[in-house]
Amino acid sequence: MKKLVAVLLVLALLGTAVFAQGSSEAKSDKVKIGALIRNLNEQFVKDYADNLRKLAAEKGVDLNLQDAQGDVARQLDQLNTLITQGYKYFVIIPQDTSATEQMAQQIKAAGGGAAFSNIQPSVAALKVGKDFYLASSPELVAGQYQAQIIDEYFAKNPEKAPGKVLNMLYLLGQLGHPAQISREAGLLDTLKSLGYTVNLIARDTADWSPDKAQEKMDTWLAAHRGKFNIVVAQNDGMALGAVESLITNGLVDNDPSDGTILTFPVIGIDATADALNSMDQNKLYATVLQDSVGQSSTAFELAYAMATKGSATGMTAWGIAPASQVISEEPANDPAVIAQCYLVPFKPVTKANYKDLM
Amino acid sequence: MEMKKLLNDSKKLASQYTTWVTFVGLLLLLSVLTKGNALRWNSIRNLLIAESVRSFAALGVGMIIITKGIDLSIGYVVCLTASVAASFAQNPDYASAIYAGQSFPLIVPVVAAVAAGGLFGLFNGYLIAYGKLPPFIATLGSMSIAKGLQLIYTKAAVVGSLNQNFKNISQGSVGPIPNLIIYVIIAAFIVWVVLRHTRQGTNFYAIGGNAQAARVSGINVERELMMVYTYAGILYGIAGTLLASRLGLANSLTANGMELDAIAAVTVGGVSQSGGVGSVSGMMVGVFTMGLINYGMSFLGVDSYYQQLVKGFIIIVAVYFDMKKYARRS
Amino acid sequence: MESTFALEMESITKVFPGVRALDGVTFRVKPGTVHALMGENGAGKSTLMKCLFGIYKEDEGTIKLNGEIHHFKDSHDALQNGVSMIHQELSNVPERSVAQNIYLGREPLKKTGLIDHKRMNEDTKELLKRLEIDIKPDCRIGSLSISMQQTCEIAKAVSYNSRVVVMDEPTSSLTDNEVAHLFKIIRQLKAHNVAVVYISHKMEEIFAIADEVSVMRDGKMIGTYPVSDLSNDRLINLMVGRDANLRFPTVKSSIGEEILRVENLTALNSRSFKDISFSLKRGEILGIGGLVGAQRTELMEAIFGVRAIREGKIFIKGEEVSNITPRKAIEHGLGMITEDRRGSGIFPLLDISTNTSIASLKEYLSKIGLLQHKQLKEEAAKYNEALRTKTPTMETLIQNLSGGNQQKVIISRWLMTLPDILIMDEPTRGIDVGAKYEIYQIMCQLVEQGKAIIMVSSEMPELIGMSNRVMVLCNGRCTGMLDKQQCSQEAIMRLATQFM
Repeated sequence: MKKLVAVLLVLALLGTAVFAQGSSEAKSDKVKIGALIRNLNEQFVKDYADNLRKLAAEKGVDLNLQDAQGDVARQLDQLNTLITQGYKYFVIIPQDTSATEQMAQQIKAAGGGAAFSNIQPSVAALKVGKDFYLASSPELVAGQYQAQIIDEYFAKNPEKAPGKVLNMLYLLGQLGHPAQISREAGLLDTLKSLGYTVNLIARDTADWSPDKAQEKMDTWLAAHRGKFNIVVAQNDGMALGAVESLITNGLVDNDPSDGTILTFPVIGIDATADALNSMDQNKLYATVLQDSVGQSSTAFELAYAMATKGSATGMTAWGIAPASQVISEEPANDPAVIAQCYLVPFKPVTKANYKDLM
Repeated sequence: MEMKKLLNDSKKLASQYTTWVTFVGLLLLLSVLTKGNALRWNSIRNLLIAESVRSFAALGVGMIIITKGIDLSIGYVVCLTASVAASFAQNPDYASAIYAGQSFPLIVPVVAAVAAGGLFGLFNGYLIAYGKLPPFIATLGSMSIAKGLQLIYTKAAVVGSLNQNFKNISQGSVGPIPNLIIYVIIAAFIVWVVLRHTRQGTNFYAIGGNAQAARVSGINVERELMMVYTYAGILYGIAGTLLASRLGLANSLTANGMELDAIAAVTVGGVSQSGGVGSVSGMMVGVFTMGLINYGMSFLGVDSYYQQLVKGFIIIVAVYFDMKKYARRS
Repeated sequence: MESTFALEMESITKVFPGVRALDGVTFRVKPGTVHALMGENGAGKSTLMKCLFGIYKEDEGTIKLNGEIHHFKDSHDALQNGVSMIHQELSNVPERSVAQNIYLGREPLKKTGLIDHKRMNEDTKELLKRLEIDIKPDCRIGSLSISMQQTCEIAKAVSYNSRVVVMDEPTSSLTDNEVAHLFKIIRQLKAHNVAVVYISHKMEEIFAIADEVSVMRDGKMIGTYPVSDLSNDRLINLMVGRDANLRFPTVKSSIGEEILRVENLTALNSRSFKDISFSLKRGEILGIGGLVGAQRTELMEAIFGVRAIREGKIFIKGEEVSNITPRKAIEHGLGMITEDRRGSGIFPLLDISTNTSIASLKEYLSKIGLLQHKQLKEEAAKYNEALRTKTPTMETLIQNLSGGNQQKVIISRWLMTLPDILIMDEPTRGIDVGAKYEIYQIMCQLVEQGKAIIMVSSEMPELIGMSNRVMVLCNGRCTGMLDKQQCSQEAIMRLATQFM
């Protein structure tokens, strides 16, 4: 009997937990928007989701936000669930580019539309219908900005890279992640076109994580000390991990005239608050702003327009007009869907402008 | 004395059917909370599809746990087999395809993935049965090997742009019944026959219950252990194929963490970690109980952080009952 | 209020699943006496003592010390309350001094909180002097002889002001001189009004040292007697409960042709058995005797293919079987009921039916290789019925049966494989007397059917009562083969201790 009671207790516990969340369900005529978010454990994604919630509250929208926890299959299941519940318009941070076409088709079958952010949808996904939009910043561009920042630094300090040879330690995000692939391509291609010879002294994943990055750097510093002149990370978390490692390993010249007290510049992406602080202390050299507020606001306005007016075609969302010229990165490289692409700019964040963001 | 007996009997009944009680209770709870919405055919269909791939992993690891083993390599082995299957099903005109310009008959990705899974299982089984490695350690190692092979094979890229025929394997349906559900039913039936109606199945239970006694009873313990891991590997291969087909892609993140989901599900389903106990029906109920929890909470819009919490509690409670039920005579 | 008894255990009952290990046992010990507790293996002596020391919790009954009710949490709690136990195995810290061992965990401290070694050594010296023990307090305890170490344990018990000291087979590893010394110490304890509970199988010791004797049998207290009222024969009779020849059914089989022959069998492990040869005939029960460590089980396991052999040959029905494995053994008509029923016999979480049929599944397959559950179940039920296994249903988990019924299921398992030779390693260990007799009857039936049995047993009466011949092992060697006429406890004992 004790066991039965215990089972019932658990069920009751479960019930109340669920009920507490579910009781606010009794909304009826509100505009319904579904949000499929790939992984709330990442700072950028979390900022994006927070802004969505804020916008939804302002407009009185019933926003159902689902966290896929990094799992494509779970995201597809969540999409199915929301469609069954009558959600038609979506803001999506896809887990994977390749799954976006399938998602778009399902939404179209339900008679709705969606705006994709952060992880690029495929061209085919946008071709599913006019009601599918890109509201994002092309990842290639982030890499390109990193390359430009590097170029500026070595233009001012040419003695640190004789013969335009870069000996780079490169910390990657999770392998196979679309941002990992595109940011790398953007960085390396741009550096090459700027006339640099890039030797990747070490290149490995630290899974977007500061502590893994620090560990990796400690190892690399033991192996490659003195053989490199630049450290690049694919996000700020890992960049800050690298900064810590350089400091504890004594790679500090205490000369902030080049913009950093470290012997070598470290560059990240995202412009998180921690990163800006580090820049303020002359540690991190520079980063690139991935605009979570800009992306989420653009995507939300598109979805809201579709839900309220039935279409968002040609509108200006969050002050951004649809793109008119193709760029080299998918899906904005295809003239057929270029009018569905809202390109939210990345911004290089350097000594010159970081204070504006703090 | 009569009262005591009655009490004992009802106790026994409740503990014997904990799995079912939990499942039915959750089902009722969910239908009340959603005013029946969650139990419409569309919703149930979603749930079944969502849990289909995990069912294969659960059946595999369920058999392993019956022999008192464990398999931590599931997630990455499924990831590897999904990548292998996907690589042979890419559109030939896709520039970054692994075998760009080549197209294969539909049978190739399926056979390749199942073979890859089976070989991995055989490898695990050999290490455990003949190498005498503890299953936890052996599969911990092979987990990392599978992950490494997947990254090497795909060069860490997404294996996407799969052809429609391949996607139809799991995206199609027969009448209102999705193909995936049919595959699960077939697999569950076969595993049921093996466990319940073959000598080998009985041997699995015997080995899990008391390996030394099994050896004395003339059972070839090593061979049977190797076979159970191989069978599981084959099931992972099928899981990988279906997952790639369903998602239309495979990448290094595919199926990550599936081992924990599968182990949790079969444990909730009454497959005892102390070995020698478990049934196919229990495994399936376990999978769908976990699915129901996932699905119900996402249906109700429960924050994902709370979802983790509730899932954790359910697993602990299930294992608690399991230990109470079987460990009382130690 | 001073009680007439130092220790009173009143109506203690302890039930294990399926076995009534203690059934209303009352046991009273007077202060200043040596009280022997006697009984066969499994009579319940150690269970009773485990209840006293809180290792088991008695189901019914009370325990009183000097008239006050006590229940000890564990042996440490008992020690604190003046009840101590001298074990068969020593439990000291060999690398520390005598004084340190005696004061382990309660070292006298100086004001600074550091250990007061000087006081500890002086107190120990005083204590040892009082007991007339000639040992230096600072001497490393591991350097002393076993009996001296034991004496230190007794000193430790006294230092706790123990009113009751239990000694469990204290002389099992002592020489005659050492026993004499131990008895001197025991008499010292008596003089200090300590109650000594003395557990031993050695009759001459009982008559030499004990004042009173309590006899237990089958979980019951038979009675308490002044030692002066007892004779050797009377004591045995009380312990056994009936004349020895009525405890075993008569084996009426006729001996047939040779069915098993073992030649020069030597284990792979060089410390195990060596150069064993014997033969076994149909209709015969061959007993294997010897002390713990004689490698009897290891020999049986090797014959059944569980354990590796270095050399030697095994012939079954005239055919040599090389590289034997359990599977091959079963195919050749061997079956083995292992000594460790829990460890290598039962599948606790499987039902009776499966536990019975597990070794013969091969014979019950349909044409497409699936199990024929119905036949399996019927056949398993048939064997269990024949052996009168008491179980609610065939689907009951075997762990819910008593030891005796579990044993019957395992015997059924092997009978179902239709063996010609059955190896039974300690077939009646941990089983009630009633069930024991039934198992003996089963053995008789089997040999009457022309099968052969090898029985390993540590119980002398069982060996003598059931076997046609007894082979005795000592330290892995065969020290003799006794036929029915030569078989006696003394003869077996002599062979079993030949190399010691």
